[in-house]
This record gives sequence, structure tokens and C-alpha cells, in this order.
Amino acid sequence: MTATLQKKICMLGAFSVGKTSLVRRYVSSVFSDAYLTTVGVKIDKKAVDLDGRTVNLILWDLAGEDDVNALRLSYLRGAAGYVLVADGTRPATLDVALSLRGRVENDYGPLPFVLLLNKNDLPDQWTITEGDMIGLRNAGWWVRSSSARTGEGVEDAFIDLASRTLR
Amino acid sequence: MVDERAVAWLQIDNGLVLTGAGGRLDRYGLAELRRGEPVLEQAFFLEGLLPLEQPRYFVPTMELAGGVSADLHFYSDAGSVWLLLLDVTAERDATRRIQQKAYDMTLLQEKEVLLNRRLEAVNAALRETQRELEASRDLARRELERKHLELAEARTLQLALAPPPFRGVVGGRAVTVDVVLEPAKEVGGDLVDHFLIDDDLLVLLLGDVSDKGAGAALMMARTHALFRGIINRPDASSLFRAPENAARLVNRTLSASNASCMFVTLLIAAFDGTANRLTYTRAGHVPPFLRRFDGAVERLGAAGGLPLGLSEDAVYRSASVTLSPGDEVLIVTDGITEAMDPSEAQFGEDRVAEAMGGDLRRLLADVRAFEAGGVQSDDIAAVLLKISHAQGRCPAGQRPPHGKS
Repeated sequence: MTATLQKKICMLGAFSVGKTSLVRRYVSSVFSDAYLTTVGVKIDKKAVDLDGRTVNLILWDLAGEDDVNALRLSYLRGAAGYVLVADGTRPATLDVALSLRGRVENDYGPLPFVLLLNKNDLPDQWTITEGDMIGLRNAGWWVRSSSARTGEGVEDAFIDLASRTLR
Repeated sequence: MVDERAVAWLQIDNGLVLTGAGGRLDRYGLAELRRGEPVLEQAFFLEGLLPLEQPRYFVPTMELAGGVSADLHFYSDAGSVWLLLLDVTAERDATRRIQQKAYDMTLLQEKEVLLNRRLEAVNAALRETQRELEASRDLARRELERKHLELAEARTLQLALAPPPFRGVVGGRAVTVDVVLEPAKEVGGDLVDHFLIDDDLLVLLLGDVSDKGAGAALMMARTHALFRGIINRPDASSLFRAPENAARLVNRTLSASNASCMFVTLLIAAFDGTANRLTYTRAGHVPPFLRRFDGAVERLGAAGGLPLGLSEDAVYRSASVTLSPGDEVLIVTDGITEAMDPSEAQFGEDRVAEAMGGDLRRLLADVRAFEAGGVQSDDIAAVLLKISHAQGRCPAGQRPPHGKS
């Protein structure tokens, strides 16, 4: 058994929605415009303080799903929760996120998760309507818009998810 | 092969304690592993993967410290879990290069699709806007045509209010009266009229409403109707022989209900043919021109009171002048005196005085020549009274217009 509590959190979503950028923003407080695709999985760690207790979040940044490469659900083995990411400027990525959530729940049951609609720093290209978000919230989802570029909504999402993995 | 793959291994017991490790551990940032201590604190990437639930387990392409990616092979054997790490960084990079190009292409295609959708939406909106504009334009055109028709009818009616020329006898004195009325727009605010009272009194009216267009035309028509209404009163003769009384009556009515705050400058003149006397009231109007038979030009500039419509309590006065055979009285609106040439110089009163001795057609021709093709900026109206040298007898068919209907 470990002395420090550790929680495995997986980042899921279509390709190029900003999963790696969200992790970099959260772990290292940096952002880069250069897009570098993830192959397989990239592991990072972030220690957070929750109610006076240190929790290591082990972040599994999984390669994005596309038409050819489906998500290897085996990566989620032992995950305490996951972050679903969609790109608010690409409506099809929300469909991918909804599909992933269903498949994860089929295989692993109802794990805690949050849905981030990323890239809200591009309002003129934004396609997700407020009605879409309200509909998801009414279904009981934790949904926020976020920006890895500005950091808006990022820390709140991880902290909320981490808190729920402890309950 | 083994060296290319930088093989490293870990042995972990059922209590998740590291019991052994070897190979290229440094390649994966695991050189400092401590045997006999919990493995998850030292290799946090194993969180969630242990204890093993099946004899073998495989995690492909996991990027660890230093950007190195490894395939993780787990084996369960006699109370221990063996973990074998094989370096796949080169394969990962090769895959990434291909995947990157594929994703870049896909993203470009997605952007193209989105852009096309937006362009189609914009085009659809533009087409809809164009349809609406065309509908509005057609509606406006029909409305404009209707208004043009209405204004043309109004112009015809308004011009019909101007009386024809008069050649006849007033109180034994042969006179001629000519008029001109030319609105700057379809309809205008100038009024002109003349009529006889009692066969010896010729009344001349010339007014100018303070605005132009339809509103001014209505004000003009109302003023005209008020004066014409007085003609039928039993005291019409006394009211027009002292024209300040007629002016006072009309002013009171106009001022009492003048929501638009328009006003009318007016010249009302009454020529008594028996006495050869012209009595006039000038309510803020351009002073008339009097050209004597010998060519000398005078101005009838006596102040008579405020323009009509400004104050119910306005007081009006009249002045008189004796006329002789050969004299001419010209009353104009400022559409003549203030007509402008292309340099915006005004026609002026001197040019009006110089044009006298002829007829109104000549005066109007002089004004048009001065404007040199420019747009008429104001309504134009004039009345010209000429006193003949001859003692008058009214020939058959030339009875003077009588005010009484």
C-alpha cells in the first residue's frame, strides 16, 4: 500500500481537442500553439491538496480517437475517474466524447468524470450552444467550457473530479 | 536487439513491494528504485495496473520520463509480478510523424467543411436579405408611384386655385392683373389670388407659407379658403376696404389651431378704382414694387404686422397709396428675390425692379436665366397689377371676376 494516496485519471476525447494541452496547463502552467499528436499514452503526475490531504493525480493522457484508431479501453484499467474533452469549435468532437463516455461506462461502470468543452478562447469559431450545455447539465453531467490557452476552467475541473474520486 | 530495446525489468510481490529490478532502468528514469519498498511510490505510472488480474497484461506505448516510450509487458508468476519494459520510442516517433500528417489533413478538411457551411449560411442569409430588400424596394417603388400620383393630383388642384389673368374695369378704371404660381416641389406653400368686391374694389392676395411641400400646401389652401370665406360675409366690403381687418380675422383663426407652428407672410392689397387708391397690409411679406408711369420705382414698405399664424393677438395696420394711369404694382414672394445662380448669389430686389415695365413672363424668364439651369430652390408666386391709361368700359365677355359667389 502507498503512504500517499494516488488516483489514476484518464484524459479522453477525439484527436486535437486539447487533452495534452490541458494536462500541460494543469501540471506545468504552460501552453503551446504547436500541435503534437499523442501516440499511445503519456503519463504525468500532479500532487493536489484536498481537505488537508495530499493526493497524487496520475494523469493518463491517452491518444485521441479518430476514424481509424479507436480508444484502447484497456488503458482505463484501474482509473478512478476521467476527463472527457471536446473541442467547442468542432461539433463532431462532442459526439465522440458522448460515444466514449458510453463505452467506458459499459466496460467499467459509472466512474466519476467531467466534460470540458475546450478552446473557449475562440468565441468567433465556437459552435456548441448554451442549450447543448444546459441539456447535458440537466442530464446530471459536470460540464464546463475551458481554455488550455488561458487556463479558464482547467484547475476547477481537475479539482472537482479529484474530490469526487475520494467520495 | 536486446540492447536496441533497452530492456529493463521489475519484480513485484503480492504486497506491491519491489523485490527486484534490472536491465536499462536508467533509460526509463527508474535508476533510483529501492528494493524492499512499495513500488507504486517509486513507479507511479503503475497506479491502477496492480495487482494484476490476469496472468499476462500488456500496455503499449507508454511515454515515461524524458520522453521515452515503452511497451509494458506484465507476467504473473509464483506470487510475483514481472514487468518487462521495452523501448518503443523510435516506433512511436515514426507513428507520430504519419499520424501527425493524417491529423493535419483531417483538421484542414474539417475546417474546409466548417468554412463552407458558414459560407453557405452567409450566402443563404444574403440571399434572404436580398429578397427582403427587393420586396421592400418594390413596395417603396409602388408607394412612391402612388405618392407621385397623389402629389400630381394635388399640384393640379393647387394650381387651379390660382385665378386666371384679369383684363377689365374696376370702379371705372381699366386694369389688368397677371399672376404666376410655380411650386418648387410638386406642391408648394405660396398662394396667389385676386377678386372683386362691389365692382369697384379689386383685392390682391399673395402669401408665402414658412415651409415647402405637402404641409405648406395644406396651410396655403387653408389660408386661401379662409380669405375666400370672408367674401360671402355681409361685411366683406368693409373688411377688405380696410384689409388689416381681413388679415386680423384670418390670423386669429390660423393662430388658434396651428400645431405645426407654420406661419404665412402675406400681402393683401385692395385697389379702389373709383378713388384710384391702393390700400395694403403687409404681414411680414416682401414689400411690393410700385413702378410709376414715368419709370420711377418705389417700394410699398409700410409695416403692417406679424406674419399670419404666429399670435392670435397680433395687430395689423394698413397703408395707402394713390395710383395713376400707367402705374404698375408688382407683388412677389421671396422665391423670386432669393433665387440663386450657381455661385449662390441672389437674384435680388434690384433685378426685380429692373424687370418691371414688361410682363410676368419676362420676369420669370429673367429669373430662370439667372438660375442658369440650377434647381428652383423655393416656391415662386407673383401678382402684377397694371393701371390702364384708358377710362374703362367693360366690353361684353370681359366682365371682371366677382368675389361673391
